[in-house]
Amino acid sequence: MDNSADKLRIEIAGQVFDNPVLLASGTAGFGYDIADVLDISRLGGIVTKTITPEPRDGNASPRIWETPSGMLNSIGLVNPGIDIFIKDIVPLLADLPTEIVVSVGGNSENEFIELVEKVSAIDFVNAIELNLSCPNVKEGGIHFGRNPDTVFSLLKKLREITKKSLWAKLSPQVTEITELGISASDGGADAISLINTLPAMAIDIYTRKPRLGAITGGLSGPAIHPVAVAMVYESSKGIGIPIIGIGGCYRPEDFVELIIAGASAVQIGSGYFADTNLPQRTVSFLDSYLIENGFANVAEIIGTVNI
Amino acid sequence: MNKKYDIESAILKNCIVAKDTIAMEFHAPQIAQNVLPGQFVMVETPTKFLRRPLSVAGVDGNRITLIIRKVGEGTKILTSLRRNTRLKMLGPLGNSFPKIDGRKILVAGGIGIAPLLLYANCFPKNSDFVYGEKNSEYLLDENYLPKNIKISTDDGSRGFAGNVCDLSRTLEHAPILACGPEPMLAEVINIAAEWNVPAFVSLESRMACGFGVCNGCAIETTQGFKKICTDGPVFPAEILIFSI
Repeated sequence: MDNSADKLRIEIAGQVFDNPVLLASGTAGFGYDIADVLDISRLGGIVTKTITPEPRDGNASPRIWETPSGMLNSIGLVNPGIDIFIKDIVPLLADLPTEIVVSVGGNSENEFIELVEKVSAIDFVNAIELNLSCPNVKEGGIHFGRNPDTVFSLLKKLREITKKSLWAKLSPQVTEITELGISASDGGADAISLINTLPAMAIDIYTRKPRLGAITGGLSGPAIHPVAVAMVYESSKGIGIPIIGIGGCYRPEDFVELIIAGASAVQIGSGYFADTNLPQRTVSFLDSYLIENGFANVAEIIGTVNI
Repeated sequence: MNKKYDIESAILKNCIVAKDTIAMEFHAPQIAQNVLPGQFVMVETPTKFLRRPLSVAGVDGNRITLIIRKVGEGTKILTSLRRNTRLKMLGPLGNSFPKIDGRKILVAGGIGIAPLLLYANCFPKNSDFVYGEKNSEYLLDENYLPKNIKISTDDGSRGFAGNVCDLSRTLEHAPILACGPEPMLAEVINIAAEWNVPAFVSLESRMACGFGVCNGCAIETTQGFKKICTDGPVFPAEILIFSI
């Protein structure tokens, strides 16, 4: 490994990533789906689509609507269900040249336990992201994510059944993000992923119909980036575990901003739809940013807001 | 999987070819050399977050032509861009119209003509090409149309008076390839069923990614949900369900 590779390498709960640029759940398929669009070996890792116990077809269309500096989506956790995932998809993930984080989403503690048990049996997967914050499904998800007691209790149970790294993906729509993060950490989470999309809606004023088939959806894109920066900054002061920053990154500078705010790694979502070269450009930018500003590695800039 | 190219491409030429409609030529060698009729590109739209999906209407050496009609905010911006503007563009995307050896009918409604122009250019033999617009103002400049094209206008201001489906019904039965607004496509599918011929239709949708990961453009078919961007945009008529 050359110095450049050392410089960008990061570690989250003992798991090594070549660089801190990851693709967020729901925007990278299962990794192989995007192999004809970008070179995934250049990424730190990918987070898979959220896997649920049963297959999900997703919500009624339309499922997307563009808004100023962002987009609404109400996809609805489309996925083949855990059993087909394990049988048909996992074999295709084994040889992918990047770290694979599996995202799971349940409607109850028992569902999360089933999912985490099954994913824990996959030897090459080192981290599981718990989707506690999807705004687009009726039950589960976001309801877990808003209550510190349920988050603590869920993490505690999952901690007992797996040695894999557990990342708790939280919603920005809570009163006190630090409290929630501490509950996850106390329960046994290894990292916190912040933020999921913000609940949002758009209406056609002439037909008075909602723009989305599911009526409301989640807002992503540059519009939510400053929200993510604030949430990462706030929570990084009080939570003793690494934070994975997510939210509206669409320029390489946005990634660096989240790292300075307190993130140990950054996930890119809808931002790379506008430029599939963005993840690779970000890795290059980060490398030159560190050199030009006299930093030896990424760890030196994490959580270094100059107040 | 076919490689997709994310390039920055300059507008080499843009001209008005009908009311609210611009033909734009881009220098896009990787896309020009690989695109198949029916495929599309996702085009950066300045000041907008998401790119816009647009069918490739023509290929000339290293150049591609897109024909863009002002229908919403995004296409309004695109049609107002000046020559030499550079835009990011991802493609070629999606599947393509099948090559049909025998006689076939190409049915185009409005700006849906774009992918069929490329098809007619690649496979010029043995086809009837019918093209309908609301009125003559919207008909593309004849330099962009094949010589033997049959035209309809809803108001009868040029060509056959009536819609393009009525015009299609006057032709000898043959497999159909179509692109246009949904009500027209629904009628094309009825015609194909009456004639007992195959039909392939190209659908459009708002898209976020264009390459199959966001699931934003999924539609329900008789074979479950399909993604317009990667399972389509061209679908065999028999699997489609229109709620019209």
